[in-house]
Amino acid sequence: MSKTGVFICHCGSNIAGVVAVEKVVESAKTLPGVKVAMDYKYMCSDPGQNLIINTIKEQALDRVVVGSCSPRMHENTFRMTIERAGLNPYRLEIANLREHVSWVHSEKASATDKAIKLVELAVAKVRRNEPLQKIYAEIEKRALVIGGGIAGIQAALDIAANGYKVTLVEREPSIGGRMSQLDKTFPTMDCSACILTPKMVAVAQNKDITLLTYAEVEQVHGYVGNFEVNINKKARFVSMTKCIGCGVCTEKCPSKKRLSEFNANIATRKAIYTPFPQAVPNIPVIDKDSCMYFATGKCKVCEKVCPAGAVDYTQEDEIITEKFGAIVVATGYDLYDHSSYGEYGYGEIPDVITGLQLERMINSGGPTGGHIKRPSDGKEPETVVFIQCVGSRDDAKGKPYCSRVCCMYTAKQALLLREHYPNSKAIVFYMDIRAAGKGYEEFIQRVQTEYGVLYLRGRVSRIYEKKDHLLVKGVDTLSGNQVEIKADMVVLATGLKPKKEAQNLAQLLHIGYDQNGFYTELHPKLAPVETQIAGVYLAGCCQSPKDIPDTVAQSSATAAKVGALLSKERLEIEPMISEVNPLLCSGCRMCYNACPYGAIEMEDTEIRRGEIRCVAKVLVSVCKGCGVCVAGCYCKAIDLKGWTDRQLMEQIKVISYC
Amino acid sequence: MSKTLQETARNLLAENKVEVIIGYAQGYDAFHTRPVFISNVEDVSKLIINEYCTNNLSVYLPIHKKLKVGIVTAKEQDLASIHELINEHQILEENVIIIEAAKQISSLSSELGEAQRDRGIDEEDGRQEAWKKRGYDMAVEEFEKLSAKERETFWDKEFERCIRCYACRQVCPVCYCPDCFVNRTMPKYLNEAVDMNKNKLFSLVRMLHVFGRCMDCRACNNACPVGIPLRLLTKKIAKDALELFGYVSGQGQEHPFSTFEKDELLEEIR
Ligand SMILES: Cc1cc2nc3c(=O)[nH]c(=O)nc-3n(C[C@H](O)[C@H](O)[C@H](O)COP(=O)(O)OP(=O)(O)OC[C@H]3O[C@@H](n4cnc5c(N)ncnc54)[C@H](O)[C@@H]3O)c2cc1C
Ligand code: SF4
Ligand code: SF4
Ligand code: SF4
Ligand code: SF4
Repeated sequence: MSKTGVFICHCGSNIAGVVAVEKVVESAKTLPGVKVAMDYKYMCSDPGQNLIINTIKEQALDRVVVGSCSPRMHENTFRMTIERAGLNPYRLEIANLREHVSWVHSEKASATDKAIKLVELAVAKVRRNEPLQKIYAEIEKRALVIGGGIAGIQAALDIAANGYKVTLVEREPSIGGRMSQLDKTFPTMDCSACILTPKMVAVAQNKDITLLTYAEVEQVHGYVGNFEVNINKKARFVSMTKCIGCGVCTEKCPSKKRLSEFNANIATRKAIYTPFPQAVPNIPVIDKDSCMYFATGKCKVCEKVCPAGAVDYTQEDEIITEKFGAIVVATGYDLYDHSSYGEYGYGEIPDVITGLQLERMINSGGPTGGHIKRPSDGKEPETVVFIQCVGSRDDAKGKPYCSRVCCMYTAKQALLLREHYPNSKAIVFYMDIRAAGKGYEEFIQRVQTEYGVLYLRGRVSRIYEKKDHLLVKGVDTLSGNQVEIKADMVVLATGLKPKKEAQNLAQLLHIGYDQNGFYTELHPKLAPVETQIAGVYLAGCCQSPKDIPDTVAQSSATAAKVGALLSKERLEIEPMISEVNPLLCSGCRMCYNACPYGAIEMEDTEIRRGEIRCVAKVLVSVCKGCGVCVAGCYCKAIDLKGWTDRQLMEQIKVISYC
Repeated sequence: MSKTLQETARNLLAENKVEVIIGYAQGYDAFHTRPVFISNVEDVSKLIINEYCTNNLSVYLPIHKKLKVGIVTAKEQDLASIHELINEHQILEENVIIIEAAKQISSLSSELGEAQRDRGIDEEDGRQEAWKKRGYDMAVEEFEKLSAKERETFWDKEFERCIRCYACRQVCPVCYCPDCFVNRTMPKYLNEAVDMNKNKLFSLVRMLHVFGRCMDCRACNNACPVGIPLRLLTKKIAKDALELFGYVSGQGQEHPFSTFEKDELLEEIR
């Protein structure tokens, strides 16, 4: 007979306020296999844990049930507790009396009944608990960072600073991300390039960081500590080793019609190009789609003018396979495409531009040399209307969330406009002002008082294109008045949305994303940079919209997590994984096909002496213990340790005999 | 008819293309057949083929996995079950030679109505009328129209008679598990007591296990000594597999339970 101890926690008044704890204890005492049952105010506290340890020793208990908060909260705590008392840590079951009972029920009598039942279920299950042994695996002491925006840059630098090798993979020809497109940054107004480019250079010069630009992750196999990743290095058609970065090729290239992605489509670029002068690496790429040579077989101007002989039209994509212990996803964001807003002209009015386009205009390195000019006629605008929340907080557009940076960048841009053209007028239409960062509220105040930017609370109902100006109609909801503004230009604060192919990457990595497409963290409060896949971490805007300070803080946090993982000598893996009984396995491969992690292998095995059959085998360090295979196996040959059919049948008995 | 079959079998054995032939032989009377395993050329005369060849012989294939086998199939579904067993890796494609007698039978018994042939020998047993009364001939569509209560009462009555002989499982080609769940003791999934609810549970769990794998070969239906219309269930699961997952067993598609497509989600379970 098992000797189970049942320990019921009051959780202060969290549980005891609703559940009659003494009744639960009394009922537990009568259950088969239970030797002692008791309660305590805070079981997770030091005295609480000591109570468990001492009772285990005094009563020679071999199994423990704790009735407390959710196992997600304290299962590990109590596992360690009973381990300290000499028990196998997996001889523990938690009855969740808080999240499943006291927090969700108010009717005391029936809540107590439910608590009694849950404890009975846990006692039934623990009776069939097997002692489990921890599993260990080796760790590949290198990290992969996907995405070279400020998030990826910071994470790579911090991981390298911890002494680990990092590979940074960036899809574009240069690292830098969105931050490299910005002019000044709120709220301190330091120049974006001045603070970013040193970091970009630091990445390139760090001997522990391998930089792969114009590259993408194609396949991911393996598991925490042992990921195997295929990376496609796209053909640049320019030799990385020969190119000296002189830029003659770009200058002479006759194909110049393609819109520049870096300049948010307000300028063109050549077919052979570096996105911006401070690019890292400063080596151009040939965009095959706009290159005349690739289209017609004639041209080859760049090859002729290159003094280093670096142009090579025969280059091909190259797939490299490498192993990593940890992966950081820092793929950033795209901007909402406002062509779905009829009231703002479906993206077809030339003088209605986006915030990012304005950033490129104000930037002295931008195509307009730092001058704000109307796209339609190149004139300096006098009155500029800013509209916030375009593609944010708009259920009708399927974008219910706040993009968090638009209030601030609009204020920043209004300030820059007023600074640049003291005679200009800036008017901002807003829904609410969200300025919750350090120094942010003060910044907004300054923009209104010192820079005289006019803030109108309300929505714009329509923008009309007149002969040489725009007519902006809307409501000022504070005064209740209809307003009509004669404007020269309108700037839309378009919101942040997940990167276009974010879901594909999520599928490669098996990580989740929320209803808006942003990657989901393991726990919104307690595990904000981890994902549900061990060894895969998040940083920056791919997880949710955020500004640069938050992005950098999160990236350093991620780097710390990666460091903690890679510094381990070996990896401890939860032993609650599937196991095949080869005697019962028919080799049907149902589990093999169903397993979402590829954790099942089919292998010829000697079942009995002389009888060799091809049966399933679980790869211990790949299995996540999700149980899909168990549900699929009609032979009932595969079982989940810690959640065996035997345990569950015991629980079903408790329920069905009630 | 049987002569051509015997000829084919003789050649296969004589040329060493197969080590054993699984086929039908005369049973205890003219209306019954029994399985026969032939490895000597002299014995091929035992082989027969007629409209009473109703068993699905592919049930004997997995235990002969290592041998080169020639197998007689009497109907389309038997053929499908061989393919299903190949898909489920229970037999090796290269080890099986199929002697397709299905077409020969259909020409032979063309005067018999389709429905009668479906039932094979059973109409001779005089149970036909009784079965009809109990809904044996009911189309699945008709059955689905009954209320939940009516359906429950129907099956309660049927499974009241089940004697838990497991004949249905023994003759089923896809019930090849080394140790069926009903026989297991650790844990004990199902009490073996003959009791209507437990009987029903056994058959329903079996149906869940053969979902998407059952070829509707009727072997279980024909084997049941107390005449429970198991075919109504097998037809229902085949229909569900097709309607819910666009899936037909024995065609080499990936089993719907081991794949996941987003648009498979039903409104109700989303
Ligand atoms: C108009 C505007 C003005 C702003 N102004 C400010 C400001 O003043 N102050 C401030 O704090 N914040 C500002 N922000 C917010 C700021 O841009 C973000 O906080 C910051 O850029 C987030 O960095 P990130 O690295 O997460 O993403 P990104 O900068 O988007 O970087 C992601 C990188 O990953 C790469 N990538 C994507 N997918 C893949 C893939 N599959 N494989 C490889 N690489 C991939 C991308 O090419 C990109 O280089 C502004 C935003 C906008 C739109
Ligand atoms: S599903 Fe079950 S019987 Fe089939 S291969 Fe997997 S463990 Fe074996
Ligand atoms: S369940 Fe019945 S009809 Fe289906 S394959 Fe098995 S024996 Fe044939
Ligand atoms: S009923 Fe289920 S467990 Fe039993 S033999 Fe058939 S498939 Fe296997
Ligand atoms: S063959 Fe009929 S009686 Fe026998 S177990 Fe199956 S359903 Fe029951």
